[in-house]
Amino acid sequence: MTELRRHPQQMTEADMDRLLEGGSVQRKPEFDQLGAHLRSVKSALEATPPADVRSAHLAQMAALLDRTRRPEAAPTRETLMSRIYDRTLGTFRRRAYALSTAMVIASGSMAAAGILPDPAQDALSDAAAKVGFSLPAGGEEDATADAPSADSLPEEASDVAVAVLSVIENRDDYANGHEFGQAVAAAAREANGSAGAGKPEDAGSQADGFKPADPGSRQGTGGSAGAGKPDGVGEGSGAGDAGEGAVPESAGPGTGTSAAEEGQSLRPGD
Amino acid sequence: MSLGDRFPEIIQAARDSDDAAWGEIYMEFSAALFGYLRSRAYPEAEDLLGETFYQAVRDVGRFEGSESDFRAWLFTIARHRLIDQRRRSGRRPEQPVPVEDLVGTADSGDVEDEALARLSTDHALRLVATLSDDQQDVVMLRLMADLSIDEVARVLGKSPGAVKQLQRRALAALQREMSGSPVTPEAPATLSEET
Repeated sequence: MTELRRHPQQMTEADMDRLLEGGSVQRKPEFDQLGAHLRSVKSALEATPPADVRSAHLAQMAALLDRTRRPEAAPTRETLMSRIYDRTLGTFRRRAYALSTAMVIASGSMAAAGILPDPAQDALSDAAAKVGFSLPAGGEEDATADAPSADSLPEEASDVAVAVLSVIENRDDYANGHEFGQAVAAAAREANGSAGAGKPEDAGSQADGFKPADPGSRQGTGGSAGAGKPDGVGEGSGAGDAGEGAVPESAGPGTGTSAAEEGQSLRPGD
Repeated sequence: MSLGDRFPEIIQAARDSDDAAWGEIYMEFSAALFGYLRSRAYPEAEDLLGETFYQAVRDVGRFEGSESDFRAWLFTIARHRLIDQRRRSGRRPEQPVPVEDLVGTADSGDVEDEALARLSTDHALRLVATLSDDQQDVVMLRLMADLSIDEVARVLGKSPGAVKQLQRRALAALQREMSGSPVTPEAPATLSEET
């Protein structure tokens, strides 16, 4: 209110516009001095830069304009074709590799079972022989002739071995290799399941192949749980005993181990 | 201080990387930009002006609008360069332009008149320097760039209402100072507030 009393005339927006545009406010002489100050500020500051500065700026802009006018070399037809070729061939190569891998595995499996047509079986048998593998030749009537029979196995042979050999001996009962393979797998699975009742189907048993894994004995050993397993392969049973050291460094909280659930630190020193 | 009807043609030529068009743009707008930058960052004004035009050349393809829009766009770039420069140096300029470096002060040939004019200008610049940063921005953009309230608001990224308020307070503070009372940058602007 003091200010308003000192300057009874208020400065309106129009007055401000006039002052800032370098004019003066009519019939309000109290703002004349302010207007003059603003004008002097403008005239003092507004100036073209010195000649040397101006030249430097213009040269800088000209250089940029020059670069703008000369766009980067457009890709040539050869470059474009090369890119397209690389892209499409890359995809094709990946697919071809996957297909040929699948074919090798399939034909290898069939050759091992001796169920390929004779010429193909002969060719694969010869090729395998050169690299040290033995596959049955095409003319052989019974590809499993040399295999031991289930009856001839020693007493200490596992149930799995006996079951699988029984299926192999009766391979003629199966219409094709696929059914035969499934029967072998089923026999092994069943025999293995009956031998290790209650054991979870884990990676360990598969890695052991036909050797009967005895999970019961593993569980019973307690402190030795996890021995022989690859690092970082978790197992539900015995994880509590395995403790912190069994958890890989990369495994963080929330990996589902009992240690985490119990609030224990998963890393030494945490 | 306007390209007027020729603006569309010049800006199109500028987009087409025409040297002459950019020379014309530089001569048209550099004085106001230089004045604004000198008032806000005196020692670095020349460098900042160069950076402003460099960026304008680089980005003109993205500009669309009238001449006044272009002016506001240039001042927006200048202000951004100013902010960047302050971030780099970690300080804000407090001192006004030394009066001996000013051009445009009275050059009447009369030594006494010139000395008085310089003193007056020096005083005016010191007064402006007492305003807050935002107030200085508003006053200098309106004064040097001839931008409207709305254009200043766009440059500063504020609402027109906020810019009006800053302008009101700034002029009130300057008026109070010239009336002899001490001025603080954040002093309330009782003069112009319509209560």
